[in-house]
Amino acid sequence: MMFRQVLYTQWKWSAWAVVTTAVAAFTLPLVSVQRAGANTEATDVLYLLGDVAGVGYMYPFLAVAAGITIALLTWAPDHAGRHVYALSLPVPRWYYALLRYGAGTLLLVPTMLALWIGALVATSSATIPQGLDAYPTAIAFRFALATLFGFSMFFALAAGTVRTAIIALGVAPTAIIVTNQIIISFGGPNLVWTALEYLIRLPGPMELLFEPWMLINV
Amino acid sequence: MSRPLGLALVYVVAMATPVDAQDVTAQRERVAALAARWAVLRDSLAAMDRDVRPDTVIAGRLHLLVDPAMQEHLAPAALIAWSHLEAALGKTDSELLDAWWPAVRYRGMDRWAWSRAGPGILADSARSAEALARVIEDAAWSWLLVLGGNTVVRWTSGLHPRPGRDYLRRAYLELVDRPSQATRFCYQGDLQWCAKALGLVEVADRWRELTTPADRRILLRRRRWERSDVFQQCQAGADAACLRLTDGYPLARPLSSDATTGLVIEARSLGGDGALSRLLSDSTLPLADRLEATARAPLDSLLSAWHTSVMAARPYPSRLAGATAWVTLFVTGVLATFALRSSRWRLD
Repeated sequence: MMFRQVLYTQWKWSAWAVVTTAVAAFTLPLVSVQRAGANTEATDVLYLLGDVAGVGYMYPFLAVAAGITIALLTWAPDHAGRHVYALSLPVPRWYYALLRYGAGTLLLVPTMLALWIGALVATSSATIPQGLDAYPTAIAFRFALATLFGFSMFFALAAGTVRTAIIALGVAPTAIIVTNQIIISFGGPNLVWTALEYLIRLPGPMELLFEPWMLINV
Repeated sequence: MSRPLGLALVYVVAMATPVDAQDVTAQRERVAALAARWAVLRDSLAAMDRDVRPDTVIAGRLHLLVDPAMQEHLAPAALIAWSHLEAALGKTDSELLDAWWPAVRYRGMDRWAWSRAGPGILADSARSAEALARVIEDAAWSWLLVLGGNTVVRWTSGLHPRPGRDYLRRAYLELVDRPSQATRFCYQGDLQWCAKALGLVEVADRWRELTTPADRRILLRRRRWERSDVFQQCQAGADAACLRLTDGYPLARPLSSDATTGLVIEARSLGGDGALSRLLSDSTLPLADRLEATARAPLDSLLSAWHTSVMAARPYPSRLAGATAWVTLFVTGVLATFALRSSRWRLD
């Protein structure tokens, strides 16, 4: 019952964002196969793959942007009301945060579904040359994971105080980069780069975002 | 000359099969190839005699001429190189290396010696034995490739799989993305078209035989500098205009040397012991015949095996790795847990 209320209020605050990201997610796959749809004869496969790859860069951006937007909107009213409403409820802090997290995740589902449907429509309407395949479900699953990842990261940041966010996003990275530069200037290893490589390469959590996103591929 | 011997000579001359012009040409080419190989060896040895007192590092069938001062540095690398070459070539084919006596020059020891030495190997004393072994192996494979004559050198870039290069996967991608009906039919399993796409069959006019009008438009569109009226007509669908543009503009073989290298590797694997020797033995034969000899199988069987391997090597780069999904979900869970434990409501 309480979850339904939390979901309802959260929907009211973030309906515009949900609709906007869902429309964008539905449109993105359609844009990527425009050239394939227009061709009735032999397709220039390299051009087609170039188009798909070009639009592919937008998927992780949209996924993370959707996640961040919903995460920030989830906590925005609580921050604005100085958490008075939340404190007045007869529930522990972790339970309230869990309700917010669940509601936020549920509000991301329309965007995820929109991308999946858009990808299915796009690939079924396109002329795909032999040797290539469409990956609408794989892209949609990846998009869902990336959205959830972005949402969770910024949900955790926004759940804390402004001071925590400033430390996490500003002070800590600056301190790390400065320390790294000092280490490098003394002939030491580039630890930041190494850490980034671990994050970006398999099995790093951000490998998902940095690998090419191809709706149509071999 | 005695009378019986003279009669015998007359008999032999009378019974001998006349030599036709093609055989004479072939024999001349063989002699020329042998002379070229001899010249390389002679120049190499002459250069060594001129510049330094040569010594020989021997590892298996590898004979490397080197300055005695560097013999100790070269020996471990030669052993590693030989172990790799022996494994890759097999017993019979490794005998081909008996005729290879390269001079090994060390960079920096004699600034001008390298340019005077002719063909050989440029080494570096700062390099590890493994790195130097790779240099020796590359030189050996290049020499073997040249042994096959111009036809092989022009047709393929290698005779063996190089580390980190997936020839079959590359061939698959080429079958998919090359605008040519030869690659499209080959992809579907038509081996005659595979032979054409691989350059094993003579094609009089590649533009007309290997491409359709749509292919030609695509290929000509890639000439980005072309903006003439004829080009515009071609792109508007007038194939005659496209064909005019193709005059004097040779069309490359649809499948690259990566694909042909994959075919050579397949032929060697089918042919077993001595496969490479059979490929390189007669530089006058057409490529298709030489590959049949290499594989000890008809060309169709070889192409079929290659096609099957290429199709099996299809990459699936868009599939999400299971590990990535699990790691992302795990990190997402950790982040969510952080959020539940945030300090926002702590009063103490």
